[in-house]
Amino acid sequence: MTEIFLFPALCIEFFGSALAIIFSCVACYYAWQLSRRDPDNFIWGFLWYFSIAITIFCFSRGVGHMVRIVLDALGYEGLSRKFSPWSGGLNTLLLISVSAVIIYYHKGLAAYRAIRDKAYKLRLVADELQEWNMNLEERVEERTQDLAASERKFRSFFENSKDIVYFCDKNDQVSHINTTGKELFCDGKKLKEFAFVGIFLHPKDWLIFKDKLETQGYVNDFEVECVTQSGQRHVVLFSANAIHNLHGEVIGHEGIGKDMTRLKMMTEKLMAQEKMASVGQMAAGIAHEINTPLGIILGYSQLMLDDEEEAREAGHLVIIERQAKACQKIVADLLKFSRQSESVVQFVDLNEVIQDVLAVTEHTLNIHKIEVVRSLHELLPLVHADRERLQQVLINLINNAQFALGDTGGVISVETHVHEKMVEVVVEDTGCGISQDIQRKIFEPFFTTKDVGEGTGLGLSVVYGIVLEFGGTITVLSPVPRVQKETGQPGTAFSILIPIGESE
Amino acid sequence: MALQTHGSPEGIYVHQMGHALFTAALGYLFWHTKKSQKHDGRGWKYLQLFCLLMIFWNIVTFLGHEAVERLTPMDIHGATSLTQSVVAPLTLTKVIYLIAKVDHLIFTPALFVLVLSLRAFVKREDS
Repeated sequence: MTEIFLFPALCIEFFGSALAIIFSCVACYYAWQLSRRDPDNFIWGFLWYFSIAITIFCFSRGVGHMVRIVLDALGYEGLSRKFSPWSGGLNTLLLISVSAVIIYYHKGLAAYRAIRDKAYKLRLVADELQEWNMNLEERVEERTQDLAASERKFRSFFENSKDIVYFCDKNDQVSHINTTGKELFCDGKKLKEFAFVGIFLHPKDWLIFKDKLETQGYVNDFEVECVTQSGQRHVVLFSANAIHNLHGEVIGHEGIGKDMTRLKMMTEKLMAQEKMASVGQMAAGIAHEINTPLGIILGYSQLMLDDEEEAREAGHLVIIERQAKACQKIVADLLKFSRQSESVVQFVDLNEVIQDVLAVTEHTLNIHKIEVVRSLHELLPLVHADRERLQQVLINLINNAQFALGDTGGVISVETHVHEKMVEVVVEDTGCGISQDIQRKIFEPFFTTKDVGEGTGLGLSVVYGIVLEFGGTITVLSPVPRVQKETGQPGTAFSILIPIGESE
Repeated sequence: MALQTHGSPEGIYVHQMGHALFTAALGYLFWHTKKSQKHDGRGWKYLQLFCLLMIFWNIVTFLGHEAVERLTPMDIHGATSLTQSVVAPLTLTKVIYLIAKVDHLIFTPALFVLVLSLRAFVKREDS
């Protein structure tokens, strides 16, 4: 083959151009359909412009090719050569235009997405606003009803509470107080005349209360002795919070007070009953104790009846007198212990209290083969407490120790020690000990390991309450390692720590 | 003279630059639609195929224009375009020229693929 004819290529060029024009027109139609369906869609808009540019390019190129072929076929080559640069130039221009449309696609798309996102958010906000607007009245009504219900609920709680609920301003004038509070403290008195400080019986309590509010911002379970409108004394347990403004300044306080008067009376009654129960327990031993001197007194009295002269010489009357005094002392000690008296807080020497208690109990202990060992600190500081209550504490602990030792007897040690700011009393026995699982229950009221009728189960709970009342603590140790080592018995040691009394 | 003159080769240079720019733009469109997960579906696949075909067409025509520039009057025989023929022996330039002469075999299918792409978009919009 010496040459390749270009006629077939010319045919392809002619018909290809025609088809390209048709296809580009169809593409343009579809792109138009797309942009018509969603005019705000940037991508469809881009494809619409892109298709237009491609269609114009196809027209320019295709028509150029076809016209050139037709002119050549008709023998107008000269005209074809003049037409060709125009067609070529337009093609170049359209090539660049299509390219430009594509290049701007990137930035356009980014801008479109940003605008679309913002528009979406704006639409959401607008929808929300519209909804709010439409339901505003309804919502206000609903909210008002909620607020009214809430106000009723809290007002009812405030007014009907059996505890005292109060609000004070920054000058400690009561601004609001519920019915219970009014009945107690300001019956018939106007609120503006009612100063909160007026309900405190002891000014010292008010100072502590106020100081805690200012320093801590709250007061928790603060027991106050109050005087009511009718002059009665009430014990009230207050819990209060300081109220602050936006700048953190105290503008008043609010709180709740629980009237503990009845509970306090009941507790005291319970403690008295427990004390009398202890007396009852001791009475048997004491009766036995008194029986011995009475027997001696009786014996010597009978001897005196037989021979009065000889009895005087032998000093029988002296013996009778001594034994009668012994009986008197025992009964006096018992009476002293069982006496119901008002609580008097004063400076007390714990060593003295221990000696007094042992004076009553030691006789009985000795009968039960129990040796009492004292180890008392000679320079024991005084504590600020109620002497009678402390006696009750020690009696209870010694009674428990005696019970733990049972019929076999043993040793009860009573020791006093001085620590930094505390005085310690240890009552230790060599008895059967207290198992670990019941140690945490022993201070609970009505918990007892004794048989029915032998114990009330209140002893240690009363002890716990009394020690706590004087700011002290009580702990139990069982088994006691030293006792276990020496006697083989576990033993128990109760340790009471009471703060050293400070002079006013 | 302050005016820049535009001699005879400038036309072909500008045209070739136009092809290069069009190729680059199509390449970018292909890359962007390919990497974006949002451009998924049949319509986008056709559009990507359109881009590839048009890139190929641009390369062919670019080389074709270069081949025309290199052909001598001795290489083409015939008085009119209807009777023209390429004279043997075939060189690389002549082969490229012959392929470029039938560039519509690439260009026209590419436009058909564009039609398919846009039709797929319309169908998806309607569904």
